[in-house]
Amino acid sequence: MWLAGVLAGVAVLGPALRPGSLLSLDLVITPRIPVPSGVWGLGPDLPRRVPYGLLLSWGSAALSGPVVAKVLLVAAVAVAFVGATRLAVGTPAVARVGAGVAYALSPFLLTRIGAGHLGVVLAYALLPWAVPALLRPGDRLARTYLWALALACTGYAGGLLALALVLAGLVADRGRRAGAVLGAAIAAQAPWLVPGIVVAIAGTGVADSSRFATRADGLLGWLAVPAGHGFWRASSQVGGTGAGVAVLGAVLLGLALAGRTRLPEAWAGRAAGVAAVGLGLALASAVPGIRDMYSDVTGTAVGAAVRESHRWLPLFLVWMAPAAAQGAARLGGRLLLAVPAACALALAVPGLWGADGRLEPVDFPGGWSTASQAIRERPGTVLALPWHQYLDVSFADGRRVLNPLPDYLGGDVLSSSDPELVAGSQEAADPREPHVLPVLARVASGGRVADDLARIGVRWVVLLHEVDWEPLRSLRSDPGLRRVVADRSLELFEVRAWRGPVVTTTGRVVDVRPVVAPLAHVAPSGLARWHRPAAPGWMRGWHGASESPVGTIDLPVGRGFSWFWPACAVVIAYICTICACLRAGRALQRWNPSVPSHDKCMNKQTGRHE
Amino acid sequence: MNRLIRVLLLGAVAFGIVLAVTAAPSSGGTRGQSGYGDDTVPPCREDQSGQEASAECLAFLETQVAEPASATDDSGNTVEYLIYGVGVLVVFGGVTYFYSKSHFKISFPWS
Repeated sequence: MWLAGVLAGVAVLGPALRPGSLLSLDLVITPRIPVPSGVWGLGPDLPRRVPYGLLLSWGSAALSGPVVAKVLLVAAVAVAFVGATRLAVGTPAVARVGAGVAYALSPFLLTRIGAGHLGVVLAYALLPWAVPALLRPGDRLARTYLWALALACTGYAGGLLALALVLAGLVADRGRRAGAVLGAAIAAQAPWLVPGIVVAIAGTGVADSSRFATRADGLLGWLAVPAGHGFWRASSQVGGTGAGVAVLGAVLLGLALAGRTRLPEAWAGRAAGVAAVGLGLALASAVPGIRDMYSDVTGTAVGAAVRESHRWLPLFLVWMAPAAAQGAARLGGRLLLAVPAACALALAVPGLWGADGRLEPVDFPGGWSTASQAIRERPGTVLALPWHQYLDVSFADGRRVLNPLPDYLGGDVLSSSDPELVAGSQEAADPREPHVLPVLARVASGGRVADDLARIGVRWVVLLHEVDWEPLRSLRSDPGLRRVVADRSLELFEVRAWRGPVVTTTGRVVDVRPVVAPLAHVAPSGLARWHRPAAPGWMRGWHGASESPVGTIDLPVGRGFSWFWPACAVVIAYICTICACLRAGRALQRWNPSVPSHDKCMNKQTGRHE
Repeated sequence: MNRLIRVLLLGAVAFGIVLAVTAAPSSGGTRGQSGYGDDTVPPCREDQSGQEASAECLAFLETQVAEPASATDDSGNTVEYLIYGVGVLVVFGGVTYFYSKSHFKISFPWS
C-alpha cells in the first residue's frame, strides 16, 4: 500500500518533480524558505505556516526549499492514501485501494495542493490516522494528546479538525473524563494557538469572510461538494466541471451511506456524526440565510480561522472514502468493488500530473538573484512593488501568486497585505503600511519620495515588472534613489538617505547585532528609532519601547538587549509542549493493555467486534 | 432487485465518468491582474478619479449578463440537466431502497 501511495503522490505532482520552485496562489516555494516570523509570535504576517514552517525552513537550509516541499507533498499524498485504506478494514484489496484513491486523490486535496494550503494538506494526510483515537478521546489520554498535537503541528487547519473530533468523541462518551480530555486537546494546540494569540493582540485585520463561501450553485453544485469540489475560488478548483462531478459525488455518497454500518463499530457511528457535521459546516456558507450567520461569526478575529467553511469538508471525506469502500463490498460483485476507485479516478484525472498546470516548476529570472545578493550584502528594510499582496506573475505562466518577494528575499520586506477583496482591507499587523500608501500615491503622480521612504526606514525598493508596474517608472528619475539592479524582470533601487537600522534622534547610527528575530543587541544610545515594524511588547532592557509615528519602534534611552517579551510566552509554550509530548510518549510505552482494547476485539476480516 | 440496483449504479457510474472526463477542466483566470479574489472576474476598481470602473470590467459584466439568458434559452442544456437529475434520483432511490429493505433500522449516529 505504501508503494501505491507514493505512486499516487508522484502522479499528483508529476511535472513538479522536475527541478524548480513552485508558484501558485499561496504555494510560494522559493529556494530558501525563511523562518516564519509568526513562529515567535511576531508579525507583521498572520501566523501562517506555524509551526510546520520551521520544518520547511530548516529543510530548505539543508537541501533546498523546492526539494523539501516536494518530498513533503508526495509524502502527504502517500500518508493520506495508506491512512484511508486502513480505515476500510475488512474489505477486499480493490475496495481498500478505492478508499485510498477516493481520499488521497480527492479534488479537495488536489485543489489545496494547487493552491498551496500546505497546512490543510498535511492535516488532511494525518486525519485518517488520527480519527480512531480522537473519536474515543477518553480511552487513552496520552494517545489523544499526541494525535491532537500531530494535527496541531500542521497549524490551525489541523488543530481545529482535532478539536472537532475530540468534541464529537466527548459528546458520544457523554462527557466521560471531559475536563482531562478537553485540557489535553486544547493544550496540544499551543504550537499554533499561543503565537496566534500574540499576533492577534498586536492588532491584525481580517478580510470579509463572506468572500470565502463554499461554491455550491444549484443541485449539481451541492452534489459536487461531497466529491471534494466547492472551493470558494472557482479558478483554483482542480478537477472537472459539470454534471459528471455531481453524479460521481452522488454515487460515492450513496455507497458511503450503504456501507456506513460496516465500518469498525468503535468509531463508525461517531465518524458518521462528525461527517454530517463536517458536510453541514462546509455547506453552511453556501446556504441562504445560514450563510449570513456564518459570515457574521467568522468575520470576527476569533472566528476568522474558520471563515472558509470548505475547510471542514475533510471531516466528511475521511468518513466517506472508507464507508464507500464498505458500501461497494456490501453490495457485492467484483465490478462494484472497483466503483469507488473508478469514481475517484474519474474525479481526479483532470487534476493529476501537476494539478492542471499549477505545479509547473518555475525558475526565477536572473535579476531576482542579483537583487537578493545585493540586499544580503547590505541588509535593510525592503519595499516590495507593485503594491499587491497577490499578483499574476509572468514567469510563472501568468499564475496568480502571493507576492513571492518576502519569501525570496527573507528579512524585513514591506509588502501589501491587502487581498483586494474589499476596498482598503489589510490582513497584517504591520503598522507601517498606512504610511506607505500616501508615498505610493505620490510615486504614481511622478513625485520624489526618497526622503519619505528613508523616514519609514526603507533602504531598498524592489520594483517587479509585473501587472501595473509602469506608473511606478518615475522612481527612476528620483534623485534620492540609486538604481542598483536593472533587469527585464525587476529593478532594485537603494534609498540614498537611509542611514542605518537604528538611528538616534541626533542622527547617530547605532550598532545592532540581531540574535534571533525577537532578540537583538543594540549598542548603548539615547532615544533611537529602530526600523522594524512595531508591536506591543518590545523592550529595551527592562523599559518598554513605543510605536513611532511611522509604525516603527522608538527605543528608550538604554543599553543591552532589545527583545520582544511575548516571544517568551511562545517559547515557554513550545518547551511545555515538548515536555508533554515526551511524557505522553512514555505513558503510551508504559501502557499495559490489561483490558482488551477495541482493536483487539475486532475481527480483522469484518471489522466488527466480537 | 439487487441486480437492478447494481445495474443502475454501474450505469450511473459509467454515465458520470463519461461526463466527468469529457467536461472541460476548471477554467483558468484572466492574466495581468492582482488580488486574492477569483481571477475569472477582472477586478472592478475605480480609477484614480474615483469615477468609473474599467472598460475591461464593464465588458466582462455585459458578457456575464448576456450569458445566463442564452443558457436558459438553450433547451438542450435544460433537458440535459433534467436527465442528470433523474439519473441521480434513480441512483439515490435505488441505494436507499436497497438499504431500507435489507437493514431497516433507525439508529442515532452517535450510538
